[in-house]
Amino acid sequence: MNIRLVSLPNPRQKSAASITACLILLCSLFILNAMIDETGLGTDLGRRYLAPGHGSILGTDWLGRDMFTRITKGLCMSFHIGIMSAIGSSLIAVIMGLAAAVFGKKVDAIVALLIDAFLSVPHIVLLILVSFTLGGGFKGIVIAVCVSHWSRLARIIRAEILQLKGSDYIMMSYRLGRSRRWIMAHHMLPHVSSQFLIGLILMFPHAILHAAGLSFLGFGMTPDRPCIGVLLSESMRHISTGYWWLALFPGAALVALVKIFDVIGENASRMLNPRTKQE
Amino acid sequence: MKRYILKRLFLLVPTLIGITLITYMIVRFTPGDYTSLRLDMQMGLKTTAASKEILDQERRLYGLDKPWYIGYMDWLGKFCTLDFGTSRKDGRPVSERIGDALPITLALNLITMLIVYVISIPLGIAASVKKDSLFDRVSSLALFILYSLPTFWIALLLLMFLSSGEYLNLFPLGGITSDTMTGAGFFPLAGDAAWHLVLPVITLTYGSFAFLSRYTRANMLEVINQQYITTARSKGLSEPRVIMVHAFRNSLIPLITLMATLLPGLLGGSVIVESIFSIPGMGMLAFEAILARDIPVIMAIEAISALLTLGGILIADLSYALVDPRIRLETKI
Repeated sequence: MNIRLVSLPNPRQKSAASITACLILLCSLFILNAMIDETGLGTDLGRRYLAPGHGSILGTDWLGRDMFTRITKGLCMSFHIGIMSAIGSSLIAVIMGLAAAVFGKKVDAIVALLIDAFLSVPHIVLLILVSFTLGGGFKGIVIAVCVSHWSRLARIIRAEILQLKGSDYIMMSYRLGRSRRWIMAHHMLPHVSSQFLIGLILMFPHAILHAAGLSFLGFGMTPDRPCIGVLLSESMRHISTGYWWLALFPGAALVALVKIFDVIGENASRMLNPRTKQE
Repeated sequence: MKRYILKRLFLLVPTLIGITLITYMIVRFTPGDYTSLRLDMQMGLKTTAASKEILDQERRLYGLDKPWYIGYMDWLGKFCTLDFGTSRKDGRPVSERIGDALPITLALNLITMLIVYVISIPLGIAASVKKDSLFDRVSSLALFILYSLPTFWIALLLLMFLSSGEYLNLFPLGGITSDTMTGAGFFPLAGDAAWHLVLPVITLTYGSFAFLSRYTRANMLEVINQQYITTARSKGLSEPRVIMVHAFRNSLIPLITLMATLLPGLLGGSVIVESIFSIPGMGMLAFEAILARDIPVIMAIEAISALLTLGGILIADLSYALVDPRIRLETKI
C-alpha cells in the first residue's frame, strides 16, 4: 500500500517556504540589532582580548569592545550598503536597457559600448578607484558598487528587450498607433520587471561582498563604525597573536548573510521564471 | 573569417577609448593629486606661497594644469605609440614597472588556472556520470560552500592558522621569495618560490572549482543525452571510451572558450590576494598606484586589463569556430 495521507509540498511551496525562512532570519537580525544597545561598542580597556565565552559571547577586541555587538551592527551596515547599491545598480541597468531599446539605434550603440566598456574592466579596480575618488565612506561604497555592477544586468535586460521588439504583439501595438513610450510603459516594463527583481536580489551578495572587500582594503567604511570589512582588516593586524575569534566570527557572519540572499534570489527566480514557474 | 576578425578588432577601438576616458576622468577628479600629496608629506606645509609655487611648477611638469580632455588626448597619443609614460612614484618608465609585475601575476594565475582545470573537470565528469548520486550531491554542496567564502576572509584564516607561528608555522607570511635565499641555486630558489605560492594559489583556486565543475557537468549531461552517444553504446564500445572519447570531447567546446574569459578575471581578482600576501604583481601595482594617485600607472593598468578582457572575449568567440565546425562566424554579427 502506498497511500500518501499528506501530500508533499510542490516546488513552489518549497521555494516559498525557504524564502520565508530566510526573511525570518533577516528579521531576527534586525530585532537583535534593535535589542543590543551601544554599550558594547565603547572601549573598555579592562576587558581586552577576552576569549569567546569568558564573559562575552564572541569575545572582545584589543580595545575591549564586544565582538558580538560589533558583528551585529556590522551586519546591519552591510545590509544597508547591499540594499542601497543593489537598488541603485539595477535601476541604472533598467534605465540603460530601456533607453537602448526605445530611443533608436544611436542610443543603443552608445549603451552597448558603455556596457562593453564597463564589463571589460576588473570590478575591484573600478570599485577602488570610484570609492577612493569619492572619499570612501557609505556614499563612496554605494556609488562605487552602483557604477561597477550595473553592466551585467543591463546586458541581460537589453537583450531581452531587443528580442521583445521583434515580437508580434509589440509590432501589432505599433501598427495600432501606440507611441514608443506607451509601449515601453505598458508592454516592455512589465515584461522585464521579473528580470529586474531577480537581478536586484542576486546583486545583493555581490554588493555586500565587494563592499566588505573594499573596506578590508581600506577604501571603504571608516573604522569608527563597525562594518564587517573593517573588523576583518583590523584582525589582519593581529594575525600572529592567536586571537582567532577576531577573524573567524565576522567572516562567518558575512558568509551567512550572503548565503541568505543567495537562497532568496535562487528561489525567487525559480518562482518568477516563466519556464520553471509551473513546476 | 578574416573579415570577421578585422571587424571585431575595429570594434575594440571605441570600447577601449570609452573605458580609458572614463578612467581618466575619474582619476583626474580625485581630490588631491600626486604632487600636492607628495609636497604635503615632504614639507608638512600646505598653503604658503612658496609651496604653492612649487606645486604649480610640478603640476605643469606633469601636465596637470591642462584641462582633462587635453590631458587625455596627450595620454592617448602616447599610448598609441606604446609610450606609457613614467611613474610618478620613482620616475621609472611605467612599462618597466609593469614588466616587473606582470610575469609574477601571470605565473600565479597560470598555476591557478591549471589547478582549477585539473581538479574540476574530472570532478564534473564524475558527477555527470553518476548524476544524482551521493557523490554528485556531496561534491556539489561542498564546492558551493567553498564558492561562497570570501577570498579575503579565507586568506586571513589561512595566514592566521597556518603561517603565523601561533598555531602552525607551515608557510611564509607573504612575499614571493625569502631574503635568505639570494645566491642559492635554481632548485632551492624554485622550491622556495613554490613554498611562498602555496597559500596564494589556494586562495585563488578554491572558489573557482564550483563554477567549472558544474559547467562541465551540465555540458556532459547535455552531450550524454545525444543520439550518437546511444549509438556508440549500442555499437558495444566500453563505457569509459564512450564517456572519454565520444562525450567528453564534445563537451570540451564551452570549456575552451571559458579559458579565454577566465584569464582577465583572475587578473582582476588578484588585487585582494596580492595585497594580503604582499606579492609584487599587477594587483599590488594597481593598489599602490591608486593610493599614490600615480595616473600613468593607473591608466596603463586599466588599458592593459581592458585590452586583455576584450582580447579574451574575441579569442573565445574565435576558438568557438575553430573547435566547432558547425559555427559560422560571418552570420553571427
